[in-house]
Amino acid sequence: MSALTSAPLHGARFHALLTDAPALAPSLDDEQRRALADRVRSLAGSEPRRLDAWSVERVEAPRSFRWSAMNARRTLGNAALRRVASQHSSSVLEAVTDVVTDRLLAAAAGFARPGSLGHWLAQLDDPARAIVVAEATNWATTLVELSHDLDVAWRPAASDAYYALAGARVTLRAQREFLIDGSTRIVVRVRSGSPGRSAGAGLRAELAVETLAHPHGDAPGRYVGIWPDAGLALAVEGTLEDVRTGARHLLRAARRASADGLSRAA
Amino acid sequence: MTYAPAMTILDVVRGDPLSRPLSEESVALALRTRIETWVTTREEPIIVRAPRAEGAALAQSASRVRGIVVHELVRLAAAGYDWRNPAVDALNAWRANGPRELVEDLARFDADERAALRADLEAHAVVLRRTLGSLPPSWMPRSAVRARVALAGGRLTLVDVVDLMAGIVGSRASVALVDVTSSPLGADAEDRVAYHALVQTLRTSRVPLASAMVSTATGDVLSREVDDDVLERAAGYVQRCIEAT
Repeated sequence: MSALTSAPLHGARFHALLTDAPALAPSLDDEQRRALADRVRSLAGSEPRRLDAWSVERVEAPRSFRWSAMNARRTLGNAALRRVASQHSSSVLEAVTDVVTDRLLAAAAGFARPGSLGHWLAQLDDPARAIVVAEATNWATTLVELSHDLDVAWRPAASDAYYALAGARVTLRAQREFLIDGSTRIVVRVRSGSPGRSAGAGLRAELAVETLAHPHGDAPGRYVGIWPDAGLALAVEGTLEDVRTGARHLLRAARRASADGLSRAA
Repeated sequence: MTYAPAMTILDVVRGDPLSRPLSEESVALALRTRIETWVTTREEPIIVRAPRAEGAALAQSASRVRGIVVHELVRLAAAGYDWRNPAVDALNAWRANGPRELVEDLARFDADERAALRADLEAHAVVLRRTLGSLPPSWMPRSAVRARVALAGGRLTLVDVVDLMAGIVGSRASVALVDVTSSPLGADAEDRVAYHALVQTLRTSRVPLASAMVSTATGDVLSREVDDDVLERAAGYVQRCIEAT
């Protein structure tokens, strides 16, 4: 397993994280994917479940999900970044406002299911919705600011990476904000707060999901996590050992989620 | 009720765009290295926060509500929301996104207390609107910007929240930080303004252009261009906090 590399944002060490990735990253074959699916399936409960870096890093049992300005900001802010990058909006605030308007229009047209982001936004009054816009604007501005500092050709990720394990009712997710297509693929994801002790485990889990979700099972050369609030970047190499370690972290998270489900049922 | 400052806060802090200093990364590195030497022998993690704004420790419900309303109004302004009824709009925003505790406090106010509070909040809102002016989206205004910078392997963490930030990190200093308080500016305002500048410098490795503090109680503005003296003052504050821990 490779060491976790860290660098302050900006400067030569940060730039090296985005450029000097190993040229040849490994691939997972169908047999390896099947083996992982079999192991997760043996742990899966009856409820559909999503596992991601958060499930790997968390120390407490998950609480039921409710939309808030804080947890809506990434979805809205990432969509705004895509609008700014494609020059569909002239400012970040305009981009966020456009994204929110699109969601509201979809809700008004009956395309938003109950519990969805669009449905929740439609229920808010104007000032509460403005706070959602403010929070998403913070996130999107941070991304735009970071994009200026990447100093390499990048594109915004069109979505997170998802891999559904057949027959297990488990979907794996890797968050990602920027994709860098140099001599090797580098994936960048951005998180708020500061990295905890299990940040490396979370990054390796995302590396594993990104590899599984790739059409040919190719691992990226590097998976970079950026914590702008802390001014810090951490990275893991896309080695086969790191991918396997990430898969083991996901299995542990699946086991823990299964145990949580059993204790709730009891 | 009228209040008319000569310039908006962003006019004050943006300075002359043609004479902005280069944003040197070496400044952040030197500060980081020096501050880390102060905690090399410490075993317990130390957390440092901005000095409290004068009056922020008041636990009275009316003061808390006023502080929250002012901060929500800054957030609404940053999102381009043109508030008509500041007290109601800010409280609605808070109700949807904040904890319930404050809403329960308000329910205990009688009609006179509510009317007095509303008048007070409207006075603060007038000062805030005049002081902020309009925030052009091209200046990338954002609000309640959080930072949590860990130094010396996590032995020291500098935590901060800046109420309003404009400009974007680049090769020239161009970020302005604005702290808004509903209390009069106190003796610790200088330290507070400097602390925001230090944390932003360490977080982004770039020195911001200016750091300012605004009181919606008096309309007073304290603004500082960020230079070595300002950063030195903030480092002194951090050192005092470490020594007191």
